[in-house]
Amino acid sequence: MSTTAVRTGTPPTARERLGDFGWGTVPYLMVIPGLAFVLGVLGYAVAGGFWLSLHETDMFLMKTYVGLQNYIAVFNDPRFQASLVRTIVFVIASIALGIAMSMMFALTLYHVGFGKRFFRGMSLVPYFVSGIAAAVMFRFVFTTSGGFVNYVLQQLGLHTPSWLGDPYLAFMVSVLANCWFMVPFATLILLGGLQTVDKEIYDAATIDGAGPVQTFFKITLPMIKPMMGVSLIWVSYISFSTFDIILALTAGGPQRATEVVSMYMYQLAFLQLDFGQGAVLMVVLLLFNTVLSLFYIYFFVLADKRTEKGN
Amino acid sequence: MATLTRGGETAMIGREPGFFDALMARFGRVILIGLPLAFLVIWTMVPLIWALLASFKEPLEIYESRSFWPRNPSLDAYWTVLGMDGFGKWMFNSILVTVVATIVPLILSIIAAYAFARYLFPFRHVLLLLYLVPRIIPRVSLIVPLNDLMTDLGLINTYWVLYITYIASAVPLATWILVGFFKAVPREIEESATIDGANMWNRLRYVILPIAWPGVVTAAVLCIREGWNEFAFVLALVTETGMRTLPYALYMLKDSMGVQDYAVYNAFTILTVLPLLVVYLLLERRVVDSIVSGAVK
Amino acid sequence: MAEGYVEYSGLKKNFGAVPILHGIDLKIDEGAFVVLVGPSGCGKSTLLRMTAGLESVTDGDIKIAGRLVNRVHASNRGIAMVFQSYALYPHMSVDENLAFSLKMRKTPLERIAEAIKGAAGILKLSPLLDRLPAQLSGGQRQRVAMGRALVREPAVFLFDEPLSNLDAKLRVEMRAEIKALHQRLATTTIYVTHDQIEAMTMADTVVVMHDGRIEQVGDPLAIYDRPENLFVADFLGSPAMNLLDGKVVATDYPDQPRAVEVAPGVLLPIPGGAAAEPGQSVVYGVRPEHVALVGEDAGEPVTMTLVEPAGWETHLHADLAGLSLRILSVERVGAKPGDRAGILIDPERVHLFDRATGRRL
Ligand SMILES: Nc1ncnc2c1ncn2[C@@H]1O[C@H](COP(=O)(O)OP(=O)(O)O)[C@@H](O)[C@H]1O
Ligand SMILES: [Mg+2]
Repeated sequence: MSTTAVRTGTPPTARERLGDFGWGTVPYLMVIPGLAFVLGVLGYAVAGGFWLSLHETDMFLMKTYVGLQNYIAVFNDPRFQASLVRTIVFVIASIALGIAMSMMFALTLYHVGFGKRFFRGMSLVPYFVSGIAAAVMFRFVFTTSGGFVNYVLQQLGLHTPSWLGDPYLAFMVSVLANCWFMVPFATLILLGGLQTVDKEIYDAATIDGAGPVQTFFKITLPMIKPMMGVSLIWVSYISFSTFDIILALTAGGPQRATEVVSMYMYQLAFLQLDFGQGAVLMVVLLLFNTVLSLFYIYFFVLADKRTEKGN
Repeated sequence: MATLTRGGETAMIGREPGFFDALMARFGRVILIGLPLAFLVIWTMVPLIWALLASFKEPLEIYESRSFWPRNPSLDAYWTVLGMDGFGKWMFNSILVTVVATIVPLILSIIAAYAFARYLFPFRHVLLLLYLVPRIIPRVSLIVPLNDLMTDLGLINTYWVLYITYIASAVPLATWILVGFFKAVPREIEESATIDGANMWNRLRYVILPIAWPGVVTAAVLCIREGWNEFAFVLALVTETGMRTLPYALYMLKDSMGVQDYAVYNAFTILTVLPLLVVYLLLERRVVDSIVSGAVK
Repeated sequence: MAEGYVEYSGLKKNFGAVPILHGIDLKIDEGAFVVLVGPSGCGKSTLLRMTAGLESVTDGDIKIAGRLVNRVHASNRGIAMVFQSYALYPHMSVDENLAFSLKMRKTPLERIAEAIKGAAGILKLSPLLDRLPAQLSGGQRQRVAMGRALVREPAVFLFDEPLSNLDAKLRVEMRAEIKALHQRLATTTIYVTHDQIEAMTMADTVVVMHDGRIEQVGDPLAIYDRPENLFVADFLGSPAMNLLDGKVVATDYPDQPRAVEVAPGVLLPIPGGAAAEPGQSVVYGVRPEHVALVGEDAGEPVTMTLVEPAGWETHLHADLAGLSLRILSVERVGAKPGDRAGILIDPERVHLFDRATGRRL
């Protein structure tokens, strides 16, 4: 190998220039196609929804501007009020149960001594089952004759209730089905959080005399706050916009016991063909979700990021 | 701790640990881990297994609910489903739409994520936000305006409308995942490749994508999941039987079968779930690792 | 001097509105081993990366082998760079790493194989060619990074703190290896480090940088012996030079007409030729190894405050009329903190700096 000659002469072509790492228009050209889809469809739909909520659609699909009339009608509608309350109860119950289960499963997967990978992989399976299929399966688990739960109860000689015929029980079952679907993802997020906690911290806490319960509440929970935030966003997002599960499980019944906002929205728009009021419910769903997500992001994710170094 | 130094005693242990303590510690651990683990397994698997078992049973046998295992396991229900009018078409629709709604978003997202991860261009934060905000929009809420808008455009019951809406909802997801993975590739490696004479395309192809491959796989699996399981959009945008995808067909099955044949119903469910589960199980390691490492949010 | 092989003239760099390099002028001879040294954040990497073509030029020129390269793409500048993190391609085996730049250039396969063989031979990488970077030790990775630079047969080697990720022992080994490689290939090399030992031991020419400016350029020992300003005096040398604020005063001794008063009544000698006027405010500099310890009743009296025996030498800290003084002795000193002693300073080894400008007098 010898000292070499540089290729001299030829002036740099445009392609050779530093433009590669420069500012220029290149990054915009790379970002715009994807954005066109996102804004073109989702943005357009959201904008269209707001527009629709201000209009009345008649039988011939002609639209007339009616201002806030749809909003007034919806907010005075007892059926909407009931569905809103039901949604809030549904979301709170799902969050409480879902986070508790996720935390329990995450701790279990964290501590399990054998087959770690297997159990982890298995725990995520429901995440890949469509909402409709999950609902159908849950129907067969809880159906009165032929359901798994009643099969077990029957074997034990216990009373076998009509799970999906009773308003309270049906509501409970839909919360359970919703949890079945959404807990796995939250579990793995929390598990990821648990794994980031340095084991020496637990040793230090033990030496400082903290018991398992204290360690969990004083050390583990605060340290996985950001992941807790992500799980909460996921769980509330899924619960708020739950639709396919309830549609295929109870279709809102019995006696509207499971008619949450998204179900009522579907009713209004697709069965009663009242697009204006349906769109109002869309706006309600959207706002609730956005506010809740921003709240979580602020409290759990950003609050911690601020003390770290941003990138 | 006061006991630490007292009288030369070993730290923290007040008395000699006896056999009973050891037993309790073991036993306690088995209960503390074993019970929740058993619950996890049962909770996760029962709905699937119950459906699977039912699909091998005879209709009446299910109804009587006398036995756990099928008495005369048979594949009849599966043959019924496969022979069903339209099942092939629905399967085809699902596969077609899923493939398109995976490949296109991946390409768009790889390009966009690369720009977000590497270029310092003005307004990049705003643009990234525009990409990501849609992730918190509940998709079901869009069915009302989408149905209305697409009716106006005459796009109801076309593949195009499914492609477009599916792609639009997959792009933010894939971009979000990939930006993280691309950013994790050390800049210096890419600079090294630049000095080595690789242009942007070659850097992506030979350096970034191979290194960030787990991210691409994860994004792909999650796009496939969204496409395969999507329901709200089909419900809003498809009315013709022949245009249904599997989840929609499953939902409509209830109405289209007079008397409920539970075995067929379950076999149908299993068949809609199985292909995606196979994809997942093949790539399980990467997907689980990505989620656990916090790369998917 | 004629044109340099690598030449910077009036080179400036801003990041956004923040100026990072304030006009660098430097000529590097063909075949030289130049070390850029300076504290972290002074702009060494920036200068090196501009040379490589990884950062754009705000103002001024960079020439390599007589060619203006300001706007030439990194891959066409005839340079090769070794990064601190090595930046090996983690998914490629060692030979693929070595081959990558040649493949990008569409070099024929036989030529690639030859080049890899050559580089692997020089760097003792032959048994490792099939391994992935993750399966290599730190030193081996370092050698792969150098091999990757080698196969390109560059006109200029650029190193950015290549040894700082290695442990102390390996660092010394690799230092020698890089130096030997340079002696063998005689390729012009620009080497960035914040480690002054590396700078002193490896360089033909040391360039001391500070806050985006070049403070001094020269032969390493020449810089050590004659730092041009306070910054260089303070930066080079470990333990660092004693720098004491003082005032030039006239004395009664005919052979020492002037001295520096560093504390009331404490007069320290200065070189005969120093251009210092009585009354001038100066900084009095003397290296720890140039302070000689003598008996208690000779020289200026000091009190020992800290004694650090390091085996081959002894570092002492002493109190001189309330000022702290570092002393380096190559002998074993039996002193204890609190002991009294005297010090003598050879006036010819003293460095005087103007307090206002920091320049050497
Ligand atoms: N891409 C960049 N954007 C903004 N400032 C930068 C960038 N790169 C380096 N700097 C700043 O330039 C200065 C010099 O950096 P650098 O050349 O890396 O220093 P050194 O290598 O001497 O430690 C530092 O203050 C650093 O913060
Ligand atoms: Mg640096």
